Amino acid sequence: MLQNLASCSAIDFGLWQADQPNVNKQKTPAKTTCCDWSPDGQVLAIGLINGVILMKDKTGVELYTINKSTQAVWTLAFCPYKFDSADNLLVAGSWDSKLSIY
Amino acid sequence: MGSDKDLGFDPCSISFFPSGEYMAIGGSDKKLTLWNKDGILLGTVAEAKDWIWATAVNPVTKAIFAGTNGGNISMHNVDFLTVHGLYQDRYAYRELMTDVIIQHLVTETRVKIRCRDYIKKIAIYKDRLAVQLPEKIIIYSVSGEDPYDMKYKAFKKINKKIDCNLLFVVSQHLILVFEKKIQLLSFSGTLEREWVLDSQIKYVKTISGPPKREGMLVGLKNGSVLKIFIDNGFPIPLVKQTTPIMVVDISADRQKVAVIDEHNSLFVYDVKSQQLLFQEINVQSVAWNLEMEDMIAYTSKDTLFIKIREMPPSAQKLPGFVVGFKGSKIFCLQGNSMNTIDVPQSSTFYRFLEKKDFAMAYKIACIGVTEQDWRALGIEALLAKNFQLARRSFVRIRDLRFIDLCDLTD
Repeated sequence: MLQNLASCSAIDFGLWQADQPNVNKQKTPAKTTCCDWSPDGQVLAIGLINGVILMKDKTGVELYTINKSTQAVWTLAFCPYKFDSADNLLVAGSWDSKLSIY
Repeated sequence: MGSDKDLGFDPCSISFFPSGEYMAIGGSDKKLTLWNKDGILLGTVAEAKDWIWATAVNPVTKAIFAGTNGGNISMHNVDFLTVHGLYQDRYAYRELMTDVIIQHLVTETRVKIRCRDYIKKIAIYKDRLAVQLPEKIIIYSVSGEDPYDMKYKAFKKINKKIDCNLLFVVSQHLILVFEKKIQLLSFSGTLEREWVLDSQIKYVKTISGPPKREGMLVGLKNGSVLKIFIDNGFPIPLVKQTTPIMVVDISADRQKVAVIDEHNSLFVYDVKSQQLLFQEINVQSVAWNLEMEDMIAYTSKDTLFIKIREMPPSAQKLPGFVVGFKGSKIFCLQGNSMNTIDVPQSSTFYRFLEKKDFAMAYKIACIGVTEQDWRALGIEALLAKNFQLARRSFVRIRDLRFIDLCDLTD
């Protein structure tokens, strides 16, 4: 079990670690709407209201961004189990009625 | 890197099942829908009066919870039913809602067909397989010459949305079973024949026949058992009972029918004389041997019984249900898996040998007994001066000295 907690707000997100008194906060380019940890706890996906998905590692370093849509990414979820490939499966839904699978 | 899919509504919440195979989505369509991980719609779990803002799946019970804009929280239990089909030694079943696994029960080989859509029904017959998807029915075929061929190829497609209770396939037709009627459809999708029956249809099973003249057994709620040939508009009544019928099977030579009724009682009738041969209570499933007339297997309270003619049945502990019987092999459905079990024939064989019923003992021996049993049959037959049968038994085990002895004495 990893002792990491992520919190998201209208302007930023914070990464909390059980053994550290400080919270690592970072500004986001838009309002956050949803977030999910990958099943191994190494990757955090954050969905933004401007249609962008931010992928961060557990220390907050940006891995990549996905420009999913022009509408808000309202919900996203990692698949809890890896199947054929070694990659995580991320499912995201945005308010242009689109479901994307990565 | 990703794939997009148009949902037709705005999703508000996605929750995966703990296994990762399925996910529940709730949103502006006011429905709680079930999808697989590849984004294929499997069905609607519930409809709410307002937008669904939140969904969650219980990691233990797998119940799906949904919270709506109107302030309601609801809980839904989802059952994944088994969808399958069996024809003699071929068994096809649905896996993960979108794949078909076909299992050859004698060679124990299996193949998988990915349909990439929600599978509603599966039917299998000799060299055919039919899979019903929400918008169409796909018919697959294998080469008819090789009985062990498992290379299924798409053969025909019917783009029709059909809502039938049961689906069967034969060599050139589809059989659709509704509440009280049965329809025969050609592979191009045209209706060729229809039978309207006077009671609710409880059970249907296809029986082999020449192409375009196959038959089926039908059990009705009013207790009738009918035989229908697809080239004949008139059903043939076989037997009539007073209790609703659940399961029917017919013996290899079509001389005897076994029926299980609503109260789990098994009745075995002779078709010609309409005589009740025997009956048994608390029976869950029944199957006649496909290769030998008169040999019947049935499951009752986790025990498998095998009976031949008037002999008392031999019993063995076996969880699950017997669904097929071919030679010495029992096909048994245990939970969600189909198992092939070899049953020894020696005990029944010796019963007939003791009774000096050499012809029957020989028949059973042909299904599979040990070399010693063959020798015992040969010697017994020799003592009873049945030289022909003795010779045939010794030929089976290539015992030259005894064969010579038979020829000498004959």
